Amino acid sequence: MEELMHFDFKGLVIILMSAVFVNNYVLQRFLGICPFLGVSKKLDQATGMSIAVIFVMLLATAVTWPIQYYLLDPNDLGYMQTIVFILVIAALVQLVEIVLKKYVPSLHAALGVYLPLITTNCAVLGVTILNITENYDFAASMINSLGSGLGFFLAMVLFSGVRSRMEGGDTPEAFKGLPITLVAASIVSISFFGFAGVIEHLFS
Amino acid sequence: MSSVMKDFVKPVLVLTLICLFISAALAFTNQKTAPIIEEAELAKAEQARRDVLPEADDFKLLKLEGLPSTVTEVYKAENGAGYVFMLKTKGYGGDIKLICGIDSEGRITDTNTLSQSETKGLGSRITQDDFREPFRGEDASLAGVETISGATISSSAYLNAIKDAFTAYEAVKGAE
Amino acid sequence: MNKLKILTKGFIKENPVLVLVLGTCPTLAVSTQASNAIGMGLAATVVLLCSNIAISALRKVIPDKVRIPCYIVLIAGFVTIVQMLIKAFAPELDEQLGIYLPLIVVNCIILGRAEMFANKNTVLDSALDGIGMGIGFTLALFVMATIREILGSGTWLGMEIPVLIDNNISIMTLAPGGFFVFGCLIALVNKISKGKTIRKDDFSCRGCPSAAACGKLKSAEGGEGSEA
Repeated sequence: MEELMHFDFKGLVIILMSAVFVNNYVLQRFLGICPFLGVSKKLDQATGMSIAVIFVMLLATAVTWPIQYYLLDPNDLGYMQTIVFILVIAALVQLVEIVLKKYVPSLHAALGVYLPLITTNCAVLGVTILNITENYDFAASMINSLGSGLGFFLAMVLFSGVRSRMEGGDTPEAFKGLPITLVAASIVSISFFGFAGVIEHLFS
Repeated sequence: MSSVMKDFVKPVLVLTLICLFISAALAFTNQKTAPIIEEAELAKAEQARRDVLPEADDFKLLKLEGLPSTVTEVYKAENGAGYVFMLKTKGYGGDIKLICGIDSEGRITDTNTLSQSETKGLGSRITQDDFREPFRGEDASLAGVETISGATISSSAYLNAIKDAFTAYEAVKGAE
Repeated sequence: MNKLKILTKGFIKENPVLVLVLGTCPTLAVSTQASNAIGMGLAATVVLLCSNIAISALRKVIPDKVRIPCYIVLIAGFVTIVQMLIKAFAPELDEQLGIYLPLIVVNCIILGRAEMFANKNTVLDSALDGIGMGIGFTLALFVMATIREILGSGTWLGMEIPVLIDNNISIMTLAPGGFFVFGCLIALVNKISKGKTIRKDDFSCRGCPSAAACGKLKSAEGGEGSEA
């Protein structure tokens, strides 16, 4: 365990930067595409959804990481991972909604509508499982979740800007709606390749 | 009373039963598949060792203390052809697991990447043959490798892990 | 609805990927190689078939209040079983699919079919629906992966294709290629069906389990913008 607790600042920065820019959840790993396409039309919705995702990702990681290492692994129940994680996330989302409604109604008014959408968001389940498969320690897992959430936020905000410009464009009939949105996403995703080179050489 | 039954007891009961049933099914499948999975993984590891040190006949796992933390396992070829080192290091996309064979004269026979999650098409060049080629036949000085241009997080992690393999190699030699 | 129609509607007319626009994440992620696409498609089909049968059989037992948690537990259970079987008997496929294998749990096609079909229909119909939708999913994945593998790697199912193998457009196998090919395929479906299959007002929301919450979001914003 001592080795797990070892604080590696440079390592954490690399994890954060690569989660946001290089292995961007939406644009490189294809996780959370539904909300990316569905809720990125307006900037305020994109922001609200992203903040809710960051919040739930951090909370889910804080709960699932200890469950995996202190509950499942010691009892040889590693194969229950998927089922336990998805239930924990679903329960957490419900809990957050109830707590927010009761104690922070203003925040609930802002984020409440996005929360039910998050339970079946593969980005949240994805980040909790990846933290385990990548053997991250607790600090690294939290940083990775934060980075993944911020990456989601960045992609959503960037893309809502792209979409608002696209509305005025003269699109061929068959491409109207989703197809042209996907083509635009493809171009935004190319732009993220630029980051990859930067991060890869920055810390070597 | 019946409304309590309907609104509270029944949902909880049904959900609990489903959870129990699914858990039992999982435990059963796990019991059946776990040995097969383990066997497949062992066979795969054996094949990976054979790939980097083809001259070896059989491998023996050595128990050693005080090796660099990147070195996870050391295997000795029974016929003295050399040693195989299992290494684990950190790239920027998570752990990189690699394997390195060193013959009895202290030269690399071959290296290979077992698993990695670096970005496809960028950091993942460490898996390609033209990246592995300069390592073959190198000794502890790694003179032919140091000059690889365009060091990246993944490639320097790879190089450092190979250096650690040599540290371990010296330790193993010294112990004998 | 006759049995044959239930089975075949998922192939093309209500293709879960290209028409209902569900399960976009795995579609984009694993369609880099045709062989992966088949593996993923079959794994999802098995899960879909099992979950549809189980949910349909239990539709009178499961109380409405806890139906979503019950469905999730059942689906996650089937996914884990499929995952263990693949790990045991096709370890290479497991390596290729990686994280996307456990993520079948949150594939909206499966929960979507449970909500839209299995909890209202008989076991036989649900099984047929599951198979049909699964085949539709596999077909769409396979078509996409074929395009991406041939252009991106110059191979098809591992076979090398002369000329293309030396002139591969590797970006097709990377993320941007995925978005691009998917966009073009949906446009093609639009063109062929003259916009009939995908109605602009409700596509991607028809079979989505979070449609209710999504609808709330949209009505909160003044009802406009339900597209995509």
